[in-house]
Parts: sequence; structure tokens; C-alpha cells
Amino acid sequence: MKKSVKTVFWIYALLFFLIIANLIKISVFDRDKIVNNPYNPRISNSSQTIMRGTIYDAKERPIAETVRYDNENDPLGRGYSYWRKYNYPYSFAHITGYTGKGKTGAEKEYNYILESVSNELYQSLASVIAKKDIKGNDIVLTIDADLQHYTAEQLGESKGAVVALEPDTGKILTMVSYPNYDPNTVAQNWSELNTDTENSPLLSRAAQGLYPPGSTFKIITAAAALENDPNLLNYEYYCYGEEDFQGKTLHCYNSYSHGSENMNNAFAQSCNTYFAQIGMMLGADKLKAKADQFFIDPDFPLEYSKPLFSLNSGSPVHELVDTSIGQGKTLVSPLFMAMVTGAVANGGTMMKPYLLDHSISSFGLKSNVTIPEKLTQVMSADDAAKVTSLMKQVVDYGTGEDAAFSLESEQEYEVNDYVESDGAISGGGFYTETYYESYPVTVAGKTGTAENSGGDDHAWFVAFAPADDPHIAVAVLLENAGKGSKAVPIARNVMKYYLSECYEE
Amino acid sequence: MAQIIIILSKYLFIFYILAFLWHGFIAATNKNNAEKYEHSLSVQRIMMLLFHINASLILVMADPVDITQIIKRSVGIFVFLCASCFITKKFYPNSSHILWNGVFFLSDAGLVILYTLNPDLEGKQLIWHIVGIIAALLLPYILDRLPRLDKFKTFYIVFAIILLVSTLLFGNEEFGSKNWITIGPLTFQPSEVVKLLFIAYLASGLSQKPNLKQLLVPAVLCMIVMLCFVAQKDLGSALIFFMSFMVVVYIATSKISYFLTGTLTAAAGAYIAYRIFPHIQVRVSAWLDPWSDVANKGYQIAHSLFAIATYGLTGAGLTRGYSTSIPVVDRDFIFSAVCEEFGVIFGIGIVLVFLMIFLEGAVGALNAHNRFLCLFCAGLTSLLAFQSFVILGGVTKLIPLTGVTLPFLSYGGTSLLMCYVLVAIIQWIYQSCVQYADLPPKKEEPEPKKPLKPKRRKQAPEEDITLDEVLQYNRKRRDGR
Repeated sequence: MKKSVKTVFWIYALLFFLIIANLIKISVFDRDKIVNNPYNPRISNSSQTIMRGTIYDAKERPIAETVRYDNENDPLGRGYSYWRKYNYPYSFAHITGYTGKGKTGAEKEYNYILESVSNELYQSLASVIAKKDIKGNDIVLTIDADLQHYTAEQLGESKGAVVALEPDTGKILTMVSYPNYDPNTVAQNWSELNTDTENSPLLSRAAQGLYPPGSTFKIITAAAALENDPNLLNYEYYCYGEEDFQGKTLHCYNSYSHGSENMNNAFAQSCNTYFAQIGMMLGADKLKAKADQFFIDPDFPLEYSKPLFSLNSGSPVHELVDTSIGQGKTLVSPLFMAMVTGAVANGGTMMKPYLLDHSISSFGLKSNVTIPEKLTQVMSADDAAKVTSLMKQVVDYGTGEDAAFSLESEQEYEVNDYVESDGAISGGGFYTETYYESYPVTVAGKTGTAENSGGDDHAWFVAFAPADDPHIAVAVLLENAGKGSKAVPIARNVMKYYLSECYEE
Repeated sequence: MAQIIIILSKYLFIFYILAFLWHGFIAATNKNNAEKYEHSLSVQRIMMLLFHINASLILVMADPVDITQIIKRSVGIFVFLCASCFITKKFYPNSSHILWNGVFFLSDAGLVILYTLNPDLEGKQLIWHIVGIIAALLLPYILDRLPRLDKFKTFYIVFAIILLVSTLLFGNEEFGSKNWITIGPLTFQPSEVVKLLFIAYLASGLSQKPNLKQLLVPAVLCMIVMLCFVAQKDLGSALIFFMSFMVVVYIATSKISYFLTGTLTAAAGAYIAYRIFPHIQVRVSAWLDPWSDVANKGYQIAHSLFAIATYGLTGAGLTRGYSTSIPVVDRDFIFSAVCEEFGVIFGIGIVLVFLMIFLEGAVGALNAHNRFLCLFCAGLTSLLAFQSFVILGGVTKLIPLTGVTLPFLSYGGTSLLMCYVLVAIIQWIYQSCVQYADLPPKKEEPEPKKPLKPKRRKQAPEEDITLDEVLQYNRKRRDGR
């Protein structure tokens, strides 16, 4: 009997230790996940008593910072209030988001970090004794403000978006959308910004805009073909400029006939009939199987739209044909296309895109350091190499020729200024002279011209460079700009700028 | 300035509870060393009072509007704590003071957190605490004078069933369970009383070592009572009730096979109930994955987890939490509010205080050398322990959530009063059996001393002494004082 009493209470003790273990699990190991749930009312909390943390770019230049201003009517009686100041108002608008009217963007996503006070006791003492501000943690983004600014300039005033990321990590290098807005004055201009349905400046086209992918989808069709039958790379086909697929007539751009071609030429020239034929040969199931590997939730930290792909074995033939060349019901965001391109560049591994590099506590300590994370394997490294070579030819002699560029490297050489004239000798010293040697960078890319019912075609260009050791993958979308080649120069300039000005080994 | 004190106090609160627990441990391991024992108990009381003063200070500073009310309440609670310590020392001299200290610490933490949630509730709760301690004060007198508690098993079970049936007939629904009865201005939950009566019934019914046949009647009755609870949609009570039944039967028979059979039967029953009742399915799915439907099904549990996890180990600081966003935070989810404002380390401390209380209850059961008292004490302790486990596990997503109150912390009149009654009975048994240690030796066996030592216990028969003798001795002792 006494033994049973003991047994029972040892079991109770065990149960209570289970509760303790579970409490530790919740508050230490699962904490990040629970805290950042959008339903948690504590994360959207905004306090007037503390100074919100600063948002820095990759080189720790402040993009959004909180500053004091004199305010005699301060409700807390301090004689000052805080004001959120955005230093790159337009180009970073969709990245930082705003705080003036609710919160969006990084301001919303990382609100909890920005509002959390580290070393609280020390900071509170300092605020009482030295009248210092109690400041939330700062965050450092992956985006270089120079590149972001340059990209915004390149995009200019054309509606569209540019997204660039680092293929092997998923780090977002730049993400620009136009039309944009000034986060400093969102509250004042709210009704104007919110009702402008024609331009919808508040929408981050790069992450939230959904467009048909057009011919850029042929990357996926080609990957599906190569996986199922590597010999399809040499499949010969004659393009008449248009073709009838069981009642569905498909045209190449301007009904141009590409003649006899294999996959290399067809990809380079973006031949629709060729890839429709490939799609027919694969069938809906195999194409869907490959597309499903690509079309996963991007799991991006800011607001985004999931890419949509709908095709199944019961889909009619015209849908299969349309889908193979990127029309049909497929819808993607520029961010997603950058991820697809990055996956090809990264040997078939799609990385999870991220925006937060790390956060900094009040004592300057780093925390929340993002570790690059694999999202999924979309194709084998072998297939990725084959698709890369297809994409290189697009830039070599195909629709994306304009994407090729050269970089200049600084060289030094020694000169002896020894001069002998009329028997007199002058100079005689050595000095170094610098000169610039330019070398070509191989670029792999794919253009796309997306037909849409709402107006002129959208122009797409996705690319990565250097093709054999990629450091940047970029996707450019220009709304209603017409042919895909219109988007090419922007992508080229962004890649060139990044590789020459920002990239460090 | 107020902020600095709140932040500093976060660490002080952790210090108080850890010191409280540490001295509880020292006291529990030094019961034979009177000096050390008393010293540790005093330190525990000091920690408790420091905790109260510190918390009151913050409450006064955080809400300067209604200072007089806060000060009145705080002084009231302070007096209550001191008086309770004094009363229990005086009237329960040989009871477990570690257990009492635990109860008062929990009560104080509950009152403080209730004040931050809803000051009105705190006032009402304080009155219930006073009622509870008065009941606890009177009980030993009544129990000492009642002859042969173990002979009323029919009365216990008939009364329990009358209460249950009347709830089914006249009960009204609150918080999703139809288990409340209103008499005049009073609303109370008969299920709390039913649990106590049933444990008393079991302890008296099984005070002779039963065989399988004799277990049949209690088992059938248990089934009936459980079905009543299920019909009232009071799953938490049904679960606690069943576990207490199993524990008492297991202790009475020492047969693990009974326990396993019962548990398996219950598991089968639970599965059937799961298939039949949609509200159980909702609870289970909310437990398995609260995140897929935070807005509706997973609302309660998700908000509880937000409260526990957001401010981490040291908490937000008293008065700085957002606990009012948790549904029924003053009753079922009070532990989440404690974790949010005092931090998870403090929450773990609270769990350990509970554990300390129940282990002291177990010591009471172990010391009882009378089958009835041992079963009664173990059953009641088990009742409290399992109730605490069900709600602590529920709000931390360890087990599916069933709404029951957390003893001494949650707001709720009947449940608080019953907790005091249970603890008073446990303490009465505890001190009756400690006193037994210096009874003159009885019968042929001359070794009644130090019942805890394993060597002796082996030879000592379980039934050393009858209940009458215990009671007589208690009375004699009291009159002699």
C-alpha cells in the first residue's frame, strides 16, 4: 500500500516535470515561431515610451530611423516626441513599409525586434540618469542601398518590378517596384494612395504582383523535358511560325517561322511551337510533377502572393499547350521568377529568400542572424547545368543578346620614363601606371513576353551572372511594355552594377 | 522610475520564489532538526511577505489613480497572510507548514495577478480566501468530534448522487458546462463537492482490502458519476474524477493490472466520446494544431501560448503584460498570465510550489498508519494534483485543454473554498498521524516510531491503529493543551 502511494506520487512528480520541460520548450525553442505569429497582439504593439530601432541597409546606413522632435504637447510631458524618418523614401518604400497608418513591410514583419528593448535595466537607468532614449533593437537588411537606388533609377518610371537575389544563399540583393510612394507622408496622403487603383502605389509588385510568366516558364518546361528524357535536348522539330495542336492554334511571336531546330535553338529564339510540342509529348502529369517542385510557397518574410499553377491530367489540350509556354492559368510574381532563376544558377537548389541579415542589440551585439536555408531541390545539378547552357545561348545569339556585358578590372604595369633625345637623357625612373582591362562576363538568361487580356504584353527577363559562378540572379518585369527584350537592359545594368560596385569576394 | 522598479522586480520575484522553494526543500529534508526546520519555514514566510510588498509597491506606482483602494487591498492581503500563518501555526501545530506556506504563496500570487487583470475580482477573491481559511480553521474541530468517518460510505455516495442529479435537473450553464447551481445570490459548482464525497466514499469502502467483486460496486458508481459529468459537458471534472478513482483503487489494492485495465477502458471510452461529441473533436484538433485556425478553434490555446512565449523567461514585468487578450484569463488561463508578467522561470517556480504541496500530501498519506486515513489523504491529494496537472498541461498545450480551475490561483468561489477544505482535511490527517508517532505502543508490536524508516516499515502491519484511537488521542491532546 505504501509502495503504491509512492509510485503514484512519483508519477505525479514526473507529470509536473513534463509540464516544466514543455514550458521550457515553448519559451526557448519554439519561441520565435510563436512570437512572430501574426495573430499575436503583442507584436504589433507600438510604444511611445521607447525609441523604435533603426532599419539599416547591408552596409549599416540607416534607411528608417526614429528621431526626436520638440513637441510641447507631448502626452508624456517630456517636451518631445518621436518621429519615424525614412531616408530613402521612394526606392525602399515597399521594403521598409510604413508606420504612419498601421504597419507594413519590414516595419510590420520585424516590429517585435524593433520594439524589443535589450539590456532593459541598463537602458532604463541610463534614461533616468543621463536622459538617454530607451531604444529598441536595430535590424540590418540584406539590401545594399546603393544597388537599390541604382535599380530604382534603372526602372525609372515604368510600371514593373526588379528583384535580385544571391543564388546560393537566397539573400535579397535588391527589390524594387514602381509606382512607389513616400513612407514619410503616408498618413497625410492616405486617401490618395489608397484609392489610386490604376497605379496602386502601395502594392509591392515585386512580391505581391501576379503575372503570367510567358516564355520564362520554358525554363520549367525544359527542366521537365530533360528530367524525363535527356535525349529531348536533341529533339528536332520544324517550326512554321504557327501550329495546330488538336484544334488549338499556337503562334510564335509575330508568327515568325524558326524553321528546323533543336532545343538549343528553340530556347534561344523562344520558339512557342517547339515547347508546346515538348509539352504535348510530356503530357500534363509530367509537366505538373515538375512544376509542383517549383511552385512551392516562397515563404518570404514580407507580404507576398503565392505563385499559382493549375494543370492536371484532366486539363484540356489547349490548356496544356498554353501552360507549356507560360500562358494559361499560371501566375507568378517577379520574386518567384528570381527564385526559379536562382535555383537554376544554384545547381537546382532553391534557397529560401530572406531580407533580414541580423539584428543588433543596444550593446552592439548581433542576434537573429539569418542562416541561409534550403527551400527545395527543383532539379538535379546535371539538369541545372544543361538548362544553364540553354540560357547562355539566349544571351549568346538569341532573344537576350543585349544582356551581355563586360567588366573592367584595374591593371597596373611599370613604365620606365627613360627618354633619349638629341643626345640628352631625361627621366630614368620607373613608375606604375594603371589601366583598365575589360573582360566579358557570361550571362545566362531567358526573355518572356506575357500576353495578358488586360492590355499590352508584359515584358520579362530573368538572368544570372556570371553563368559559371553565379553571384546574382535577377528578374525584371515591365508591365505592358511589349516584347521581352525591353526588360533586358535593366537586368544587364543591375547585374553589372552589382558585380562591379557591390560584390565582394 | 516606475519602469526601473518594475524591471528590477522581475529579477527579485524570481529570487523570492527560488528562495521560497529552496527553503521548502531544506525544511522538508530537515524535519527532525527542529531549529533548521523552523528557520527555513520563517524564511519562506518572509519571502512570501517580501513578494507581496514588492508586488503591491508596483501596483501602487503603476496605477496612481486609485491609490487608497490599492493600499487598502494590499494591507488587507498582508494581514490575511500574517493571520493565516499565525492561525495555522496555532491550530494545526503538527500539520505540514511547508504545505501551508505553499498554499499562501500561491494565493498571494493569484491575488496579485488577479488585481492586474481585474481589480474587482481580486476583492471578491480575497473574501473567498478569508471564508476558506475560516472553514479550514473549523474543520479540525468538527473532524475530531465526528466519530468514525469511515463508517458513512452509504451517506457519502447517496449525497453525492443527489447533488449530481439535482445539477442535471436544476443546473444552469456557464463557461460551456452545465454544472452550476444557483441558490439565492449564490452560484456554486456541486461537482467540486461531489469529488470530495466520492473520495470519502471510496476511502471508507476500500478501507478493508477489497477483492475484485467488492470493487465492482464502486466501479459501477464511478461510471455513473462520470457519465453525469460528461452529460454536463464537464470533461475536466470527469477526467480528474476518473484519475482519482483509479489512484485510490490502485493504492488500496496495489495491483497495477487494475490500474491498466481501468486506464485502457477509459481510453476506449474517451475514444468513443471523441467520435460521438463534436465539441471534443474541436478541442482535440485545437490541441493538435492550434496554428491552422488561430482566429476560431485554436484561439484560446494560441493566445495562451502567445502570452507564455512572447516575453520569455523573465516576463514582461508586472502590469506590463497583455494578458487580457487571453479568454477566461481569470479562471482557466491564469497561469498564462502569471507566465507573461512574472516570466516563465517564475511559472516553473509555481509548478514546483504545486509539486511541493502534493509531495507533502503524499508524506501525509505515507505516515498514516490507518488504511482509511491513508486512502483519504492520498485520494484528496491526488484530486488536487491531477486537477492542477490537467489545467497546467492544458494551457501549455501538453494535453488537450479541458476547463478546470487552477487551485488557489484561479478566480472562483466554490472551487477555492473546496481547495481549502481539501487542504484542511489533508492537514488534519497529516497532523493526526504525526501525533501517532508518540502514542504509547499498542498490541504486541512495539515499534511504532519513525514510520518513514524503510527497515521498520517492512515489519509493521499497515493497520497499526484504529481511527477511533487516533481521534481519541487527538481530542485528549487538544483538551490537555
